[in-house]
Amino acid sequence: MKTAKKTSKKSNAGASQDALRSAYMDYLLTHGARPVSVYKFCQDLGIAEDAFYAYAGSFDGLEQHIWTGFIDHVVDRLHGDVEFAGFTTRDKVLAFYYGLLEELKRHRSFVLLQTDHVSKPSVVPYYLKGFKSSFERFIESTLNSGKSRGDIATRPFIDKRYPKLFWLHMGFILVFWRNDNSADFEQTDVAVEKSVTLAFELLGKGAVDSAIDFGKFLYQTAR
Amino acid sequence: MKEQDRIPVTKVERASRFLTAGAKIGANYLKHYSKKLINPDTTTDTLHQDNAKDIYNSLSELKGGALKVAQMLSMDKNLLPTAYQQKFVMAQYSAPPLSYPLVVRTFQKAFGKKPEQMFDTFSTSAANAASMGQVHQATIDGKKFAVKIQYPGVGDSIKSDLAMVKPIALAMFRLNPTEYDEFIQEVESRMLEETDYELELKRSIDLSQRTRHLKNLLFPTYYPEYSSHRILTMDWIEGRPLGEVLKSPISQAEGNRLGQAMWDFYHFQMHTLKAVHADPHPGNFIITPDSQLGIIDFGCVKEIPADFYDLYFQLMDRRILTDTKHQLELFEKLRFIYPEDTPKQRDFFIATFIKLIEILSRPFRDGEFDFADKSYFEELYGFGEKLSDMKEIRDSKKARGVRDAVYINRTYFGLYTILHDLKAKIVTRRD
Repeated sequence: MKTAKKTSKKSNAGASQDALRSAYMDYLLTHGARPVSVYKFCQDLGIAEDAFYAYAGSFDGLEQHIWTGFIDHVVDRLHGDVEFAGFTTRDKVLAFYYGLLEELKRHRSFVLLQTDHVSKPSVVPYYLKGFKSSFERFIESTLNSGKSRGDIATRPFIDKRYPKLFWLHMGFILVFWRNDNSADFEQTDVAVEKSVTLAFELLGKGAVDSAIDFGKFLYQTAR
Repeated sequence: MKEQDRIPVTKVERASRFLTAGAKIGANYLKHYSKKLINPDTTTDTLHQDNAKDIYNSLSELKGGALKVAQMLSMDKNLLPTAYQQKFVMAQYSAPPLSYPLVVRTFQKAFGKKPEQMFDTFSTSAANAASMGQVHQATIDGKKFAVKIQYPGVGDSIKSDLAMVKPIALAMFRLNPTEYDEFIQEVESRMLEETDYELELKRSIDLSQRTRHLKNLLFPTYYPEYSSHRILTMDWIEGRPLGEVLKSPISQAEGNRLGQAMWDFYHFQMHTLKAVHADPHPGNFIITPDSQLGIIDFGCVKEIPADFYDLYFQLMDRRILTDTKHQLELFEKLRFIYPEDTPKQRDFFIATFIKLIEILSRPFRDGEFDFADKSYFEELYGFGEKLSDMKEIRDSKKARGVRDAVYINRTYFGLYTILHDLKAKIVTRRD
């Protein structure tokens, strides 16, 4: 897989990174708890302990890598797709979400186990830190290219907050998906489709700008 | 109920009524969701009340003439609420079209491939809207295909929409819930069948093969290898939808030819196949450049049970109008009258149904009928108008008629209307 490319600054053993991640997920899911120590984990895996530290400083760090890997994998795949460059901004974001949901589906048990204790979406759990910044980076670059295409309205002050708003939206999607019981998580697809469409209608030039414009006018004339 | 200013007239106006209702309902849901975020114990009661109010307001503005006729044709008051329900549920799908990424995802879930890996070309935006989905155009080696893709989650949505409208419909038409239930079930089962593309594929292949021999008809070929429970692929039929063709005047000969093709198609299905394409809507027919009648969309098919068939078509027998003993027996079986009716009610309903049957079976009587006949349709509509104002009908809490008749009546109603628009002269019987 092409994933190794993205994390190349740390890596000189790409294959064993994947092995580390899947071994850790496997352990967590079959035992329901973390290995007692990095030492024991490496021993069972038959590798030296420092090979682990070359990649992550702790299990917390490893979990971060796993989550970030989900996003990086999807983004790499999207950029490798010839059609993707021609998509509108909305379709780019949709394609990203559908790709991510497909990726997460493969690791659903892990995701459920990790997010089990999360109830408030406003607090970012430690393992999602890298995931969050990867996500915001993707959204920011996509929205910026959207602005130059004219899909997205430039609104001083407000548009700096867009990545943050999208992060809240991402939280909504994850929680929705976590609770979704429909076959093939079809309802989550609908939720993504409808909410992203609405979001981009608000981001585009139109209703909101006219409302602000009109509000400003009323404010000015009322004085 | 507050007085209405006026009844929405045009189709567009009526549709936009539903859109505003839709928007209001959307807002209700958002309100509910945000309340629930703040307080997880919020119940859905307020939501349902809000929705009920908005649906009621929009529905009650719609008591238009077309639906009154539909009501009359149903020979009871069940088709009216069902028509409302159906319209309402369908109006939910005036939603924005599916995004291309979701189309790709649907393909990947069904076939593990992207559309462009299966076809040489594939249109990224929808060419047409279909009931509960949208149609894309694709090609392989220059041959065109129509690929219908269903909106995900439609099935669940239908069930909850129908459940929501039911109490309102009951209240509006003052019906008895238990008797009315079976009619709702009929509508629900037909609409849920429409969401099952695997069933539609099977029926489309079967019905089109068995009706193929009729003159002036054209059916697309269906492709099971490119179809799944959410995707249905068939030949692209060149031409214009009937609704569009009808906007400009067409010649008498042309109208007769197309009308006859349509009549024969329905006649053959009713009496030979005993399964009917129950959605004669101008959008479901395509007029090809060489003036053939292309038939698409076998989503809504009513299979006619044998015992119901025997009862129903006895109504077309002229003796029913004079032979009183036979009449009573048949009317009771079809539940036009009930044993517990008072003699006054009984006389009233017998007289009303006799008049109805006389009007409705008139096209069959002489073996030939001119559907251009304005006076016939005026009589038909006029009688419908009168019926819906009759106190006896409004006050009867009983369902008059049986559930199997709902879609058969609707089919005849659609057929008569299209033939009238075509101004077609039809040979209705060949015996």
